Amino acid sequence: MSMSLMAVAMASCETIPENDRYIEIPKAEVKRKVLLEDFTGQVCKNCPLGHEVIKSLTNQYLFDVIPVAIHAGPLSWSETMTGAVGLAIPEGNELAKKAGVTSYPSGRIDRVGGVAQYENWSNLVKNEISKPSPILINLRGEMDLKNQTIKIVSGVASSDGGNYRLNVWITESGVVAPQILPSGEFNMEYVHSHVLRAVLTGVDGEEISIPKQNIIDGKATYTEFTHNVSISDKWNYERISVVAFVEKDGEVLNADEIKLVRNIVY
Amino acid sequence: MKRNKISALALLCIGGVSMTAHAAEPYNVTAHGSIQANTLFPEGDAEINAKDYSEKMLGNWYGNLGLYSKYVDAGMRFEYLQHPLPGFDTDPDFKGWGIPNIYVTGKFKGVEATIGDFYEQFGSGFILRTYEDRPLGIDNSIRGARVKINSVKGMRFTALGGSQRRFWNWDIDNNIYGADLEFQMADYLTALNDRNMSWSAGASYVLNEQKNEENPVIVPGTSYKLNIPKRVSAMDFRSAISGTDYALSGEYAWKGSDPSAGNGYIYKPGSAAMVTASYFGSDWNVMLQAKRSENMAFRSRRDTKDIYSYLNNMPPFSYQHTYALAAMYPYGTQAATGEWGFQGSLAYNFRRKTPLGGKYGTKAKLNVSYIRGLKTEGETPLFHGYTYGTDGPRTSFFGMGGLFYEDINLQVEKKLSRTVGLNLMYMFQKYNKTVVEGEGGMVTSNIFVVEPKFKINDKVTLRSEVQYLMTNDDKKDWLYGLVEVSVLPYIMFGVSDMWNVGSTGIHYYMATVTGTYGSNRLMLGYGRTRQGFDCSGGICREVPAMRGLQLSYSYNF
Repeated sequence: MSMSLMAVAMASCETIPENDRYIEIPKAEVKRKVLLEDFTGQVCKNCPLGHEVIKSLTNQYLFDVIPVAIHAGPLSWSETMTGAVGLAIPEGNELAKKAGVTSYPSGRIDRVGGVAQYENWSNLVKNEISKPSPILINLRGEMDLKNQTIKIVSGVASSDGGNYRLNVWITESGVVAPQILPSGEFNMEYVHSHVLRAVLTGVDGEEISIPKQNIIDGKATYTEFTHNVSISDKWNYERISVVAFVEKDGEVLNADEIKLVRNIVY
Repeated sequence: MKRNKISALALLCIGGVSMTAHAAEPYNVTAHGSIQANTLFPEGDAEINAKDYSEKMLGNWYGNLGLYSKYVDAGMRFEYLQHPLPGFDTDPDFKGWGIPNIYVTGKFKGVEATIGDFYEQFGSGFILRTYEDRPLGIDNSIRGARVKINSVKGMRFTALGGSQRRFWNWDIDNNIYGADLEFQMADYLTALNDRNMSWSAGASYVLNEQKNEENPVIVPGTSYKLNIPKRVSAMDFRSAISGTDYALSGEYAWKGSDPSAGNGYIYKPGSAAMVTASYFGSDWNVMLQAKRSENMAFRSRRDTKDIYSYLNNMPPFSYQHTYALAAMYPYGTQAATGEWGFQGSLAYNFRRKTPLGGKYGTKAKLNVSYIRGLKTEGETPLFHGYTYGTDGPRTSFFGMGGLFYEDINLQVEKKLSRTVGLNLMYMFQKYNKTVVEGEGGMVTSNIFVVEPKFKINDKVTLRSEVQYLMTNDDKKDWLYGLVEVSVLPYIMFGVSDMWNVGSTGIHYYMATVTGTYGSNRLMLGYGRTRQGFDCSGGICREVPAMRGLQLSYSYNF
């Protein structure tokens, strides 16, 4: 009987040779920009694995994937801590709480379907990026170093029209700060990318009303919203970006990102 | 235990089963059940980082009812977990209420058939162990059908199929099938019986089928998805032999290619081997055990990495401590990456009226656990920077990697007089916090425990504990004290404090009153609970810090 059991077992084994383990899939047709919120922490051992997935996705989709590293939770270090550079701001913890984040790293793709482990991000981005969007966003920004302020103008157009929520955030890349690695060792000079630095519109965003219009070949009339923010002495103004996204019913419909370095006013 | 006689007809109505062939016969039916309600009235506490909940009351509440007769058993469990205790809400799907467990079992001449929800374990659990562990929030029962045949002398056979519970979901795209066959050789070989020996041999097989094709696994940054096996097979072979004063056993398991989130989607098969030897002398006994496992995290859902969807359970190789400070750094089995584990124990009973035994005798026990990772060789193969689709790191069978856990503890139990007893423990521990918790490095500690017990009179006993954990790592030294007064047989009072004397100075105080009356037990407590890990059988759940009034009630009938 044992032999029979063995025979059945061997027959049921599904062995896939090394050469047959990868199946090429059609490239996604990009129809919108996708927001990837990465809930991360500096003392979270597996969080650099999430960062690696983000690098792969931004290499693949270039500027059509907009990542934001939201340092939050018990495995993060607060921006106000002394003795080391911390990257968590209070709004990050609020966003993590609202998203229902309970383990790190985890992420949301356009806030569709709740938080997901980093192993699933590629599939979720592929699904989301090929969805048509009724929203167009046109971002402009200006940095006034004399007065240490940033002015952001977010233009929004919609083919559906209606009420939406506009979110405008500041992020920074190239931030050198400690990070624990999967090996358990600290890299004291880890280069952090897309770090959430400021939330200009509150964690719930601001309600906006956009008229309906026909959008042909990306040409539209934009309704503009202006936000100003002071430059923090914790930021390196040369590496600042602005991220804006529009959501409705809790899901992000489109997003945009600009780097401000080209628009500096001395 | 109170037994209720209910008619067979009532049983069949409750079970929802029609068995008219037997319904006319008068059967004795017994009813057993239990109620368990663990409740917390939470309070925020910034000093210990205890969350301030919007709910006034949180609780995990369970009620079981089982009806048992000669030919038919039936049972169900009600759970109310809509506002679960802190730490159980790490996955929002944990919340819910309803009847997640209901079954009917028919029994006739050594053949038993179950339809509904059931738990099963093959061998040591290398390839199948489903169980309920309420403190961990685990209930990974199987919903389906099972047949057990015990009617052939010296042979037991089990076959089952179904889908595994994950919180309140039974995904029919994920199915499990399994069979287990075990022989008791003493029933065939009389020579074994003549020598008072027993010998068993068994084999198991489990097939884990996951049809889910809606969520392909894409290698990040590429246009490739993985060709994932839809069926994963696992096999287990075991044998055990024992005599009057010794026992030897060995078990080997193999799991087929099972790429999953837990192993970085590698295709290398998993394996586990374990040998155990024990000897029982007149005043002493010794046990030695060794285990090697690799890539044996076997889950019914490949995209999960938590503790809730395991099909198997690797036996723990760390001593399961009950003293608070000895249990502060509990080891969690590393099933996915694998480990080499060794453990042993030597117990000696110093007889009365000997130099070490004294007037009343002395018991001493030495326990050792030593667990290391697997040594990897060469570069880990990668595809576009990821292990996805590769065979993962190369290892050799006997190669050992870094230290994961080490525990050497000596426990002495001594009766000093007719009314005074004393338990002592010394423990040396090395705990790789990074491996188990994700960060923190190696924590090396020395722990001392003194536990005196005083029998004041026939009704009142006093027990206390003083524990000290000494370490230069993590949060440094801890001191723990407990005083417990029992007024037999109804009530017990206890106060304790776990005090971090080395770093934060925070006190984790607790006061409890426990009443017992018949099968009723009510515990009322107030105090703080430290953030840490609750582990059972090598499986760990993170417990957040909490403060508040605790109410725990249980009743069995």
